[in-house]
Amino acid sequence: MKPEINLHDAMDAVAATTPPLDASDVLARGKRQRTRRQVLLTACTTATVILGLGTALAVLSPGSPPPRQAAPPTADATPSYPTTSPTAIPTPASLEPADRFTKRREKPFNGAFASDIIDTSLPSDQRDASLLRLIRDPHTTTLTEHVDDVTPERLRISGIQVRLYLTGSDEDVQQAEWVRDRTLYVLQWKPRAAPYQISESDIRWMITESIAGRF
Amino acid sequence: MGIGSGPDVDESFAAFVATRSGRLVAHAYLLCGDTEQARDIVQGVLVRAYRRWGRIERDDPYAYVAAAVANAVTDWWRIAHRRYETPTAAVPEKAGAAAFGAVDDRQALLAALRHLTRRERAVIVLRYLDDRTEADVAHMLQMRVGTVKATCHRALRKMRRELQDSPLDGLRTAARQGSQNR
Repeated sequence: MKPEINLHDAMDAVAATTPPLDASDVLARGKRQRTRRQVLLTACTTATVILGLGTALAVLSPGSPPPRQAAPPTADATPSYPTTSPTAIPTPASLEPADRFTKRREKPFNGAFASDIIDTSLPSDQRDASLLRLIRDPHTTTLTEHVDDVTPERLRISGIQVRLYLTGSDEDVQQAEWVRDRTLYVLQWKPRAAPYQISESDIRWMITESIAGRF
Repeated sequence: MGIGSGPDVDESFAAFVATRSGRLVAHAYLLCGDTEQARDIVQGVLVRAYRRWGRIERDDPYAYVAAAVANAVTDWWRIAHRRYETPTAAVPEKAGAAAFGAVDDRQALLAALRHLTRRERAVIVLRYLDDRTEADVAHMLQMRVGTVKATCHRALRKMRRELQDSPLDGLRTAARQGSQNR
C-alpha cells in the first residue's frame, strides 16, 4: 500500500528531482542575446539618423527641386520584377485579399481546431510549406495577460480587441489573438519575402472576415 | 552600462538560476508535460529576463519568471501545436523512485493534470507547487480571486474524477484533501 501523499508533496517531489539549469550557460546566453539586441538597436538608430539627415539635406539644399510626391524606396516597394509591361503578371500585393486567401476546412488540432489558409498567389509547390493558419480554441474564453518581455500591439477591429504579437517565444512566428463568442482565435503566420509578403491590411482583412463569420 | 548588466546583477542572476531554475523547470514541466521542452522554455524566459534583471530582482523575481514561464508554455502550445500530446507514457528518466515514491505516482499526477485546461493547470501548479495564495495567483494570472477559487475547485474535482480509476489511492485522497484545505 502506498503511503498517502498530497498534491503539495507530489509536486514538491517533482521539483526536488528536477535538476537546475546550468547558471553559467544561461548567463552566457543572456549576455549574447543582450549584445545582439544592442547591435541591432544601434544599427536601427544609425539608419534612422542617416535617413533623417539625408532627407533634411535634400530639402535644405539650394537649387534642389522641391520634394516630389514620388514614392521613396520603402519596405513595401513594388516587387523587382517588371510591372510596367502591359502583360505583367499581377503581383500578390495587387490582388484583393478575397482573391488571394482561401481557408481550408477546419481540422481537429490537438484539442482545438485549425484551418490552413492558402495563399493562392504562391507557387503551388510552396503553398503547403508556408505557415498561415487560423486556430479556434473554444476551451479558452479570455485573452490571457502576458507579462513576458513581448509587448503586443493592441488593435480594435470590428469592435473586438485584437492583440498582435510580432515577436514571441518563437520569433519567426507572428500571431494575432482575439476572443469572440467565448472562443479564442489565433491567426499565425510567418513573415515572407517579397513579393509574397503578408501585409497588415491582409491580416486585418482576415481578422475582420473571421470576426464577421465570413472566413 | 545598461540595466541588467554589471557584476552584481550577473552574480544575482546566476544565483537565481542556480537555486530556482530547477523549480521553474518543474513548474513548466507540470504545465506542458515534456521535460526537454520545459527546460528550453525556462531557459528562453531566463535569457530574456537577464537584460532586465536589475529591475526584475528588486521585486519578486520568482513570481515574475514563473508568470513568464506560464505565458511561454501557452505560446509554445500555440506555436508548436502539441497541446494534449504530453508524453505521459514515456516517463522522464529523472523520476527517481526513491525520491518520489514510484514512477507511476508521477504518471498519475501528469495524467490528471492533462485533463485540465491550461488555466486550471496554471492555477493548480501555482497553488500547490509554489504555495501561492489565491490573491497571488489572481494577480499573476490576471484573474479575479473568486475566479481563482472556482477554477481551483473545478480543477480538483476533475482531477479526482480522472483519478477514480487510478490505482493510486494516495493521489486521489490528496486531491480531496487539497480541496478541503483550500
